[in-house]
Amino acid sequence: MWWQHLINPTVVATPLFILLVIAEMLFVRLSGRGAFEARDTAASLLMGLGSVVAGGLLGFGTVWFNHLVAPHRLFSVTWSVPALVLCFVLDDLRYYWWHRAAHRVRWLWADHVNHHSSQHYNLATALRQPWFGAFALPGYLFIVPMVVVGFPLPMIGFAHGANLVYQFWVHTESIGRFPHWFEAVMNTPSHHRVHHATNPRYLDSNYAGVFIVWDRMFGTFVSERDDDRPRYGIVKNVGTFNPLKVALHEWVGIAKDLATSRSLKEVGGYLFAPPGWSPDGSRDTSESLRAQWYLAQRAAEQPAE
Amino acid sequence: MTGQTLYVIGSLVGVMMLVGLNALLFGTENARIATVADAVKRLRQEIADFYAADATLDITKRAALLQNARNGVLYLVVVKGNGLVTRALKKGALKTFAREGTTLSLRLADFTLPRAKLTFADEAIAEAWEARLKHALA
Repeated sequence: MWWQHLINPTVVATPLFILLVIAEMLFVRLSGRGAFEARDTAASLLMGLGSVVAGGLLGFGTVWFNHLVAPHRLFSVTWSVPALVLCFVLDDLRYYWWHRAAHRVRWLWADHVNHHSSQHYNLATALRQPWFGAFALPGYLFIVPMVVVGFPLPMIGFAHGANLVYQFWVHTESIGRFPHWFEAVMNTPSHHRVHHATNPRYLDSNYAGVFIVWDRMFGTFVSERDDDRPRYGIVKNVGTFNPLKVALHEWVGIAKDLATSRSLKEVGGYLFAPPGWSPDGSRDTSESLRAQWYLAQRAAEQPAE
Repeated sequence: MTGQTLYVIGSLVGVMMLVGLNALLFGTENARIATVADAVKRLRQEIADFYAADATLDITKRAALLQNARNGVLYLVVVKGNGLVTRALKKGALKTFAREGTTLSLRLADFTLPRAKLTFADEAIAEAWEARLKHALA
């Protein structure tokens, strides 16, 4: 079948990505809905390009690992439209759990944080991709179930690429909300704005790639509120537009922490605990930020004595 | 020249064109912190229990120093592009600082924000913040 030889959907879609970034810039200029900043856009686009180059140079690790697992598959799924659809849906479930882990395990966050490092939320931000994913080793494990079930590696690769293409368009402030039925099932710009927001109520939510139903099923769904507009970026925003520094900053942070670790427990904490974990609890995690915010809200709501 | 090299060069040209269009449509001016209240507002958004005891904007309106009334912690707010970046100036985060007249130069233990420079309207203000920074490092 011709579609067994489909090439990477992200490569095919790249010209469309560029046209849509231009269209969004013009729309934002005319409507004022959204924002662009030249240095931020440059950083995002160079990180996107660097990610493709780094993938070519360092991606052999993932390929090798997948080929290592493939001989141990339980079944052999053959190419067909239903198999491709099933593969796409299951790959989206895999993406949900990988993405959730990427926000909750610092070793994976060191890679994924790059995508969140812009204080802007536009289609260029979608292209702000990490360079050193090959070193986020625990991430390799999430593909294992798909391979073991027996989906062909090219089919998984195609589903993953199609998933990433879908996610491109949700990175925009130019689109409000869709009809309820669509927002109920699909990941949308509204849901993903929440995911990129640093407002305490929005932290660590809406991990979906294509189907928001995973967040609804696993208790991580938060809807966007008009009275709490998303503020984008990370809780400690980067102070640079240098793509190399952005790509490296959390890896450097981990290296510094590991160098000062006094026990294996601390090493484990710095690598596998949520971002912000520290042995003495002196740093902020999502939980501590949310708790402080909640207490402040409660205090503000109480009538003055 | 290989196809891959051409791909990278072509992509770089494409990036430059998109960034150029971005600059043409939206300009390249750095934002300013219009009033000290904007810096306070930003920290209030990021730190639930932040209440400013004191806050001073530098004369370029591109940086500010603030102190939290709740716990005395000092904060730096700086403009980056058209956004703001904040840092707590606690021991360990602030490496050294120096004052020269009305200007305070800070060195931070921060990979993406290693330095900051603030110039205040008069020397007394710079001295007052210098004293607080000394206390923070003590």
